[in-house]
Amino acid sequence: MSALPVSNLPTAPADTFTRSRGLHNATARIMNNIIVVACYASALFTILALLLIFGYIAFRGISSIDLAFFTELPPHGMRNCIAGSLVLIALASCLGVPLGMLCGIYLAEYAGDTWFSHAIRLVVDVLAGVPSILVGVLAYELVVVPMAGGTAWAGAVALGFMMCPIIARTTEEMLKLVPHALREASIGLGASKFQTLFRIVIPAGASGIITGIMLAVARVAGETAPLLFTVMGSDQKVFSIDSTFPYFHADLNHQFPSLTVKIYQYAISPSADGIRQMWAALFILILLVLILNICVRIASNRGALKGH
Amino acid sequence: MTQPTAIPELGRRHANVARLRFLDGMTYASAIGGALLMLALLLMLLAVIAHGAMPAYQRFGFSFITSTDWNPHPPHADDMPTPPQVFGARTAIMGTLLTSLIALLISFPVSLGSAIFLTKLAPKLRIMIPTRNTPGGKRFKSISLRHGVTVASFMIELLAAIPSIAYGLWGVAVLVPFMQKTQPAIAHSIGTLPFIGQCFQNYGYGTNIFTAGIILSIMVTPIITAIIRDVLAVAPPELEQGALGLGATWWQATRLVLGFSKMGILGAVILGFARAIGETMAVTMVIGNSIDSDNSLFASGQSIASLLAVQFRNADTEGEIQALIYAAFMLLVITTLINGIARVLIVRVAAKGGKR
Repeated sequence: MSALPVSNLPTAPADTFTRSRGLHNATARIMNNIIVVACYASALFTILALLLIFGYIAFRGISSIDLAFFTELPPHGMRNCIAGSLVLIALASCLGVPLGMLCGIYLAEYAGDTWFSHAIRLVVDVLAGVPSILVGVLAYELVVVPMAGGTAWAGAVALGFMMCPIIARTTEEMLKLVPHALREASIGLGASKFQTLFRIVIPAGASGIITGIMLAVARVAGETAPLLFTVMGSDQKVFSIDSTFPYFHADLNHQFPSLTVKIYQYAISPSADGIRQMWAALFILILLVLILNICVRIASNRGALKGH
Repeated sequence: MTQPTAIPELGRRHANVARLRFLDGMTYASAIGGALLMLALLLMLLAVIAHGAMPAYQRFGFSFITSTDWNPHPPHADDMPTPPQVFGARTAIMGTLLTSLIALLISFPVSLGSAIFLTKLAPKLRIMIPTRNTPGGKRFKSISLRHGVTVASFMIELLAAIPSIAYGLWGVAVLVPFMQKTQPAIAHSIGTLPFIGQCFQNYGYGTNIFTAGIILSIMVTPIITAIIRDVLAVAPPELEQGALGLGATWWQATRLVLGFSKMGILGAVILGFARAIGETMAVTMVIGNSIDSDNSLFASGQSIASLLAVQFRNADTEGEIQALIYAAFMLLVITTLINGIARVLIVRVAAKGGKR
């Protein structure tokens, strides 16, 4: 910890903490206790909210899950939607991971204390805060309009854009945790910057970067809004063999199934069986997100990832 | 920037050095390219949405903000020509602001309390466990609840990781029926008061602006809590220690810390606000999606994000899509500005407290 500039500390008026106003004052003590209780209560309230929401979804989800959910196509199950979501996430990662990592490497390894690097950090933070539906509107204008209809590509572009800033920040934080001595030793032995980066720094920070990717996947896995008018959902099989291409493949040029879009479609439908499947799907989704987050937490034992 | 130290020029290594220099250059170029790409992405987002919004802006201008008519197919008699479409987003803009304000009013005190708990109270928690076989009269063993606190902190972060649609469906299944039961009582008691009573009139089916505000408050609480926690953690401990040493109560000492970090706390609240106004799925599920304007918190409404989520796919005319993108552009400009301001505030406070 560096020495603090004393002049920056706010100065209290001379009589702030005299006997009349501090521990010996009944009003101050009562106020103190009220605030302590309020703080306990609010923390309890927040944690209770999590337990309530997760508990309710788990309760509804477990009671409505069955084997057909995983093995059948709609309207009996959601096999294609699960596969579709996985394909979308994989495609999005192909776009978001390399781009985000490049920016993260720049911020951690090359950016000094310059206005440019501060501006880039600000831009990354602002991008991370852009509402997901607006990323959907961007993908709509960029991909859906030229391709004249919903495609898997459009959804992948939207999710990939959302992953970029998250991965950039976690990569930066993780590379900064790699001890500086490693870099100095590598350069001292005559390695170039390229060798230092790819043989020393990135392998040393790899586990952290992977947890960052998991965090980004957890974030986009539950995204619904940007997919509503980009992939638009579908009840078709994801992988098939058809006349256009005689091998097992996914058709990415048409409307595409997605778990979250299907959840939304069932949620606004009046079908009772749809509602049941919706709860099952939501439970699977939440379980996936929570497991990913818990893995991230366990992996990043240094607590450098803050979950946002 | 560190340059690679000159490798002794030993004949055979010449080519290698040139190759490494080239790779160095390439790495730097692609890294800075990645950084510039983020900038390009933000600019592209602004440019594409502004471009899409331009026709609607030229047609409606500022009346878009003040008008409440949203009519892609204006009614007309069969023998008359089709009247022009009318679009105004006042209901959606008001809905966005109202739901976010309700969310902040509820979540700010709770987040502040939770953050103070996590940084100032919880680390000091101890359980005293009686022990028998201690020599010398010491009968209690103090066990720190440090790990319990880590778990609590993590659970609050998990709350932020739950997908938006899950909050929405929970709201529909649990909160909306609850609101439906309690609304009449509130409307008949508070609703009869002068002035503010009007806000609680005209209750309907439980899907309304107030419900959306409550869902949003649960959603932004963990976000605000996490940032305030980080801001409080970098405040200099001397402040608190000094005050306690002078005989202040715990709260008086903590208030000094809060005063020190107040700009960071403000940043956290603004960030929570930015998150709330852009939240889509949860709001869409519980706000009722009614385009009609009604000056009551208990009436169905609309937010910009829910307007986009519901109408974008159903829009069958070019004019409606343009109007929707105009609304999206407003949301984008507001969130970008708000996020930028909040981040600058938080970074300033972190720098003031000294990063450690």
